[in-house]
Amino acid sequence: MLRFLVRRVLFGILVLWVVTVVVFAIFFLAPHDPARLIAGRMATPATVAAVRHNLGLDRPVYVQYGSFVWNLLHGNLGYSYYRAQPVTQLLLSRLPVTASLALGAAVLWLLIGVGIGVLAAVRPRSLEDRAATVFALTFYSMPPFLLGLVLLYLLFFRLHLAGVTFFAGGGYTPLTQDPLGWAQHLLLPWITLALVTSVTYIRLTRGSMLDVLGEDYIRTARSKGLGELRVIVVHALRSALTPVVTQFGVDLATLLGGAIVTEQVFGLPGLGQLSVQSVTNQDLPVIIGTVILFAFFIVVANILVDVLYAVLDPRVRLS
Amino acid sequence: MGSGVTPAGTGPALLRLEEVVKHFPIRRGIVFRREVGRVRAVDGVSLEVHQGETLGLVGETGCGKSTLARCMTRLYDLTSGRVVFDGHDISRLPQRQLRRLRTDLQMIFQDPYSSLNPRRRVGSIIGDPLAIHGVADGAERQRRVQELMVQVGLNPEHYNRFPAEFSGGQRQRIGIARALALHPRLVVCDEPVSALDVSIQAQILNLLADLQERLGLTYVFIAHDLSVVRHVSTRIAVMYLGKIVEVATAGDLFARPRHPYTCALLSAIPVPDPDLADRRSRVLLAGDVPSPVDPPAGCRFHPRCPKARERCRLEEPRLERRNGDPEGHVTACHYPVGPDEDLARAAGARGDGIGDAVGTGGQHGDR
Amino acid sequence: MATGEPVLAMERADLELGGEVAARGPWRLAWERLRRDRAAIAATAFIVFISLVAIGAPLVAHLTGHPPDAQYRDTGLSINGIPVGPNRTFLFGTDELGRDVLVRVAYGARISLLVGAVASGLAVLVGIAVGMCAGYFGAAVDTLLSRFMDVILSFPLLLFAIALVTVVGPSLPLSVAIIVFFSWAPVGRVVRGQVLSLREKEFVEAARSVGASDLRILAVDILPNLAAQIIVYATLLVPLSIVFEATLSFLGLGVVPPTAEWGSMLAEAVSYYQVAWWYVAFPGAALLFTTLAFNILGDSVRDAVDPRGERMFVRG
Repeated sequence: MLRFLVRRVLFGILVLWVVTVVVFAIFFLAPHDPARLIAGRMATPATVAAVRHNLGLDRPVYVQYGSFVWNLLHGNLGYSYYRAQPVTQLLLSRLPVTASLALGAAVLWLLIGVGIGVLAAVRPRSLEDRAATVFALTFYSMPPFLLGLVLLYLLFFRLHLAGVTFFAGGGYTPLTQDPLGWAQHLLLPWITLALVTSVTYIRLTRGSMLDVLGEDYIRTARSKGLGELRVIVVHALRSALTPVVTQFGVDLATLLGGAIVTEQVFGLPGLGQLSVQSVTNQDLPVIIGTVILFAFFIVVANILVDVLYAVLDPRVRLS
Repeated sequence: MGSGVTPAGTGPALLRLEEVVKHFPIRRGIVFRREVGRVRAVDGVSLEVHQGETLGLVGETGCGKSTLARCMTRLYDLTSGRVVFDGHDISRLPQRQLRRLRTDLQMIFQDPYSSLNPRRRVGSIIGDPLAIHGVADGAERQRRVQELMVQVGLNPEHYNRFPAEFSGGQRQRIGIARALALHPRLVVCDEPVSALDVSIQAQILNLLADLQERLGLTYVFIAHDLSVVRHVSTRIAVMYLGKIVEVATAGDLFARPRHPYTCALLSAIPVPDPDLADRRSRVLLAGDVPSPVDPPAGCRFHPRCPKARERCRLEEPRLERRNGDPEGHVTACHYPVGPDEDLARAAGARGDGIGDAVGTGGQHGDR
Repeated sequence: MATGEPVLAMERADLELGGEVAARGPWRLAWERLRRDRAAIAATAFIVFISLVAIGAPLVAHLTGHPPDAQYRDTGLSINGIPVGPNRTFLFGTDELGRDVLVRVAYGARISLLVGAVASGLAVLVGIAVGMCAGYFGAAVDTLLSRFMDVILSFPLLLFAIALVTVVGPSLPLSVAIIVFFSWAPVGRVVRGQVLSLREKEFVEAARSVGASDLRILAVDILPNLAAQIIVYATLLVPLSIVFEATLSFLGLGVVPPTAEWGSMLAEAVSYYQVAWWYVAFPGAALLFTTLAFNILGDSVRDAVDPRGERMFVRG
């Protein structure tokens, strides 16, 4: 197990390193002037020169890269001239929004996906199964932003017109301030993100459960007289969940992408919206910081997922 | 069934193996994989195959026969040793030059189900050698392929069918047709009938013998079943744990086996007559075949040998002619089994106890 | 039976009494199965339809008399500057600049279908090439390529799109390049896995014993066994590419205005949905149904080619 963990962490570090190299290459080496980009569109030549000097862009490449990585390791992600704030501070202020969105959606889609999947597997070809299939088909083909838009229209706009003000149309309330408002504002975004991704999990769980339920040891459990619920939850689910965990690892990157888009649709002031705005504003330091931060989270999350997978499936540890 | 018309072992050596060694490294490691051990699949084999004969090669599963077969045809690279085919040293030849050799040296594989590409049509599979070596094209190639199909007993109209549409025996015929496409001189048959039903086995064996006669082929016939090998071979080599332990003509091997392992193998051949079966002695070996990663010191067979003595543990016996044997009959044993020796008794005397437990009666007949 | 082995089938319809039973090859069987799948037929019909629309977009513009970028501020916008709903002049209504939504949807189809086809085609090609090399040649080549694929698979996709676009500026070719760059790795990984197992098969050894070169083995023996997987992946990558491209354009990272594209139209629609439902509905429906059609088709193709595999959506 330890060897497995070591290997995974080493690989994670490799990925992170490649990310830093690629990011550095894109931003500091490309045939444009990084100083200009960082200083922003509105900067005067004097500012640009000052920026260039500050950043030490006249030093050799490897020295620049070295200090870049050094800063990263110390949590210094640069300074945004456009917003006149250190990037780290800016990112941290927006992190709770994206985190709330992502985590909430993940929980929701796991619940929906696994729940409906198990139901569909336990009663194949029944009404539940058919309904799940139709549900799956429709939402699988919807890009998140479209779904968000449709939900906004139906559940927010139309319902508001009808007098039901349950769903919020956007904006964010911090959890610490007003938990209910927090949830209310996030409800539609959560549903949007969760619905599209849950589909994969429904069919995955369904298929996996069907396979597992057909196994001999399940038959043994049943013939021993164990209640059906216990059989399903305690015995079958554990094996059936391993592909789900794998898929979750793969979906982490997608989750982030979906979060970015959802924030745009619902106007949530999170990291996603920040990055999109920064593209328009050509606020390079923010983008660099966001990319690296996200990459870091994805790598860490992937390692956790892999470890979880190894816990669930001993064969992985021993390979 | 005859064992080939051409007189055994009289032609020049078509294929010669000299101390062929093939080891597979075992690697471990997190980032860099280091070698921590080796599977000594073939550990110093010297053999000769003469023009026109059929050399049978027998041994248990895992003794290295298939690996040896692939070393012979250079599908594997040798760890060390020499392979000389038709006077050419092909041991270190790069694949490109080997290709030209492929016309003369061919192989038939064991599993008729996996040795044919399921997504290719049979005509294309058989015609593959012709296409690769630029021997024939288009209509001419089809004609030749269909000719081959007839030769091996297949319906030439099935040219465009897929392997899945044929039975096991038929698929093996396809494999044989493919091997014969370029009129090879030597064909290495790697357990060609092991995966077939017994009734089909006879058909395929007949076919192989027939083809040998008609086309003047030389065979190396690998099997784990001595009774099969007996019928087709001119000479037989017995292999154990990566080494050859005995080589003799078919008749000699069955009449006067010298190596204890050979005796054990022979005594295990089922005999149709139940009374006869009851009366004969079974030599039962203790234990399993040791792992080829860590073979025993000295004579490799010594841990299981009923006759093993001190010398066997220390010194590896050489493969050479023993007293009283004809030229060409070589054995690798310090204490070869004599003509009147009852090995079953020796196995009993060693107190293995296994002989007592299994009731093939009369084993200690003269006790 | 090994994976990839065709199921020997006598289709019931062919069993005429007294007639000869003709066994079918694997491709013929797949085609038969596909032919009977009604959902697949419906999906294909829609794809053909939308392709015709895409090809005939100029015709649509001609018939309605509205070029895609022409702004009709007097007829297309109300007094308050709000887009006009579907009526006789503008069948799908107008957008915030008074442009004909119907025509723009038709032109948008061009981009989506083009990107879908090109991106997935290229990704599959690259994936096959890399996967085959990694799987077949093994050792150092494999380790290098596999690590490379793993790293790519771990990348946050959208983020890199963002990063690249910031530096280079949005454009359609860039979008395609990004999609291809991130799509080939899953294909490559699957192909590599397949090739790894195929490489050990005896028929590959047999081909080598007959004198086939590596290249020939790859092309003639291994590739046909991959074909099934490749086709399935290609059809599945198309909707993914379409969605990804639409997402990029939605975020302003894809096509440049005033190009008509479903994603960017929907981006604008976010601000106007309360007053212009058609602006969401029509591009949205176009996007949804196109993606849906490809998904259904992909699922059916996968089912036809490998019936033992898991059906994504069990129907009927």
